Amino acid sequence: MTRKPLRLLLSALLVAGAAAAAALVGSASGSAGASGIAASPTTVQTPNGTIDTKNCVKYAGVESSGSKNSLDPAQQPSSQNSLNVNATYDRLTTEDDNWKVLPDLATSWKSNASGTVWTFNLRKGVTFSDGKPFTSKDVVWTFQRVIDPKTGSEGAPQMSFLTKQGIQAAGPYAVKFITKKPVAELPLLITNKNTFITEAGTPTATLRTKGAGTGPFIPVGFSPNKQVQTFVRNPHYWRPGLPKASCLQLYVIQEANSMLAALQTGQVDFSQQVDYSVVPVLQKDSKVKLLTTGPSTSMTMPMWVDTTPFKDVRVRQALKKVIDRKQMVNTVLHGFGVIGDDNPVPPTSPDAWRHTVPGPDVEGAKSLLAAAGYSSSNPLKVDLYTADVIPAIVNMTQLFKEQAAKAGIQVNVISGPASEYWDNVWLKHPFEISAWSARPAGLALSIAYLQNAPYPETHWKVPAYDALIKKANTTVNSAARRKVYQQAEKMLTLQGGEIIPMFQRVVAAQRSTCTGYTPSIQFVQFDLTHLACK
Amino acid sequence: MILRLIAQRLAAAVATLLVVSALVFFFTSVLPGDIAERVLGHESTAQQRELFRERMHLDRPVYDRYASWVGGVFRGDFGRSLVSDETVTSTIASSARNTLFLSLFAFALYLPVTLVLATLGALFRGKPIDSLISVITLVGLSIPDFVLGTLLIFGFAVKLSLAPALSIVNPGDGFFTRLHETVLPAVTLMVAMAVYAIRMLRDNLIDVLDSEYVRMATLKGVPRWRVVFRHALPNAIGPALNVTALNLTYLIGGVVVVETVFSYPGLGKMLVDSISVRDVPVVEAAALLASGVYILANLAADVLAMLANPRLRTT
Repeated sequence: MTRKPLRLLLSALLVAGAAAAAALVGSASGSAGASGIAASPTTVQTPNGTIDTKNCVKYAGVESSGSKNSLDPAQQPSSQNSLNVNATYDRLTTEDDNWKVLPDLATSWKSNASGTVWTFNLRKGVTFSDGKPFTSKDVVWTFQRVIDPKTGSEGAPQMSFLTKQGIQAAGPYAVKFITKKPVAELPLLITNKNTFITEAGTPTATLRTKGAGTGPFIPVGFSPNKQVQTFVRNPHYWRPGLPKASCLQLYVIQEANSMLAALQTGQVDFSQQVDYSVVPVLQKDSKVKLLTTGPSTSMTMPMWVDTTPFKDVRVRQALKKVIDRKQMVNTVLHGFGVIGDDNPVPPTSPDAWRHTVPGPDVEGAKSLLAAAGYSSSNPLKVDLYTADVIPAIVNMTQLFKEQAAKAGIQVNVISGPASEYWDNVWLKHPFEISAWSARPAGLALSIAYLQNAPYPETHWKVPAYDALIKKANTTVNSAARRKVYQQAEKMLTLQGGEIIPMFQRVVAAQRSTCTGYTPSIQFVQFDLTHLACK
Repeated sequence: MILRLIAQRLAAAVATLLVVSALVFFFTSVLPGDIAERVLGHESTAQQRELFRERMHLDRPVYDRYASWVGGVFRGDFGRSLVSDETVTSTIASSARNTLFLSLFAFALYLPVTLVLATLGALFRGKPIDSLISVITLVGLSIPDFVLGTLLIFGFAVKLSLAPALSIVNPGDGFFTRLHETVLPAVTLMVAMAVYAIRMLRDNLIDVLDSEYVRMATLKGVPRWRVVFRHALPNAIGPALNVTALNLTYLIGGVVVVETVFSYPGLGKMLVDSISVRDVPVVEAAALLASGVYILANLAADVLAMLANPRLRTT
């Protein structure tokens, strides 16, 4: 090729490349697409007129479901979905941080004498965001859908006592739940993250992106992978004067430092959780206020009670006695925790069998180990599997190793990747870490400790224990039920295989110019109605 | 003859892409972990997983699934996401555009910065400005990109409020708003790439400026700027172009880290999410896209090097 055509080719390539890049970039910036958001960057078209998103309250969650993000309450793989669902729908009942059941779409409820039929009376005059009235047929349809195996909802196993025929409407404003055996805590058990009420007959595909709910906010242009989801106030929300915010934007920030920066610059107003490592920085920042809760997620170390060396109850008790729980809370959680009593029910709960937890007893641990045949020439050696699945849990295992060393116990901490832990490591080794989100006493005592528990973390198979739980489930009187729970808890604390040194407190944040956020101990429950910023 | 070269390379590219797609497909299917369990969560029941497997044709053998996937690709159909059931193209379209925007922005910053700093370093070698550039590039080489990104956030966003801490891009934003929103991640990427290219180009330029024909041109009275730009740079630029092509591969990978630090909704983040969930169709499409970009970038680098330096045109 001669010079001139070559230069022409080169210039042509450069120009073509620049044009292509500009076109692509232009399409990226200009694509309003099917998002429902108008061409201007800060205004949003809603059924009730245009809103400026500058006035939206900005809430940042810490978890991402990726493409699984949706508005369907039946499937919530992470709290990102839970935020969408809490904004858009309501449940029959909600719970406070002491697991007391409170009215929401249901105004009152009672059971028959034997506890096999629970009747819920529904609130009148509530409408869905598309104008259709809320009635009992929506409740029946919602519950039947959640327990249907074809839906694949994670809320189904918890409500295995319900059958399709057992959920019936009793007139337009009442619903009956009929069970074969008495279920003393039915109102508590049906208040879970998946039972938000959806409109009867809505196909799943519609529910995922356009579900109509009775809740405080209405989603605008929802799509799973959007970086920011916008919701506007529901003008027909049944609670008068709420929600305070005219619109809400949900962000996702998974990195601790990014969350810190976003809070400090005011790019977000509220945060679902801040990492313990950034707490000291925020405590010094006057523009951000830290909010905390009671005991939430437990940090545990289950041992298999049918496997050496944990088979010997003295070994289990020794491992529990060496732990300085106060030191753990202060060091690992920077004080944002509640010490645990090796009991899945925290000691601050009215259901706990004792409220004062004894301190560490290294000498007691040593004598237990000696009685079990261990000594300085034959020390107890254990492998502890861990991974960074919840904040600070690996630090907990490292501190445990040091504390155990005081009694001559050698702990070998084996840390692996967090993304593989629940699939490949959990339930597969005699001594490892685990974590349980906050649960009421009945559920906390069953989920891992019954002989047929779905997640038998400690291989605990004690018929007397099962009998206690069964008795509690059918005891309608709450004071009597509590006494039974306490007996079961005592068994776990003194003889069980699960070491529970502490519970995390949720640490959330709000800008000082904002008000109204009260975080819940449940990572999937949000009250967004009072959020407001100046 | 350059056209013939391009045609040959494109044919090789298609073959490479086929091999890449096969490898990605098979490796993703032998990864530990059951796809159904990943998508439905570990609290799902065996029955739910069976239904899912039937629906997604996961009971067919791997070769069978791969063949039907390749057939689909030639028709322009990349399949549907296993997770969201939306088409793969719609799932990755906006992420891909976002990453493209960020990459082009970073690249647009990278070119002038590299050329200017390398030329300055070479022309004033040994003087303070050269030492300064050398120190800066050395420091830039040693800092990991996520540390750099975090430092930029705290310097420019938190302390100076010059740029947003998170790169939140709204669909309706104008071009200049977008530039403002993505300036910090673009600068992070630019620095990570430029530090290698500056050092390489400076060293090559020094060699070339010492060569005979450059001295000849100077003695002939050719003005300094013409010597540098018309004679020296085109010869020195070859290796720097190769470094640039390598940098483009870094972009494809490093963009994952930067996108996470800045919460930028790009292809890197999407790739990581879909791998951990074993969403094979999305992983495939993203991997193909990344390989395609790499192959094209290498081809472009080779062609440009040849155009700049006629001595490299062997055929």
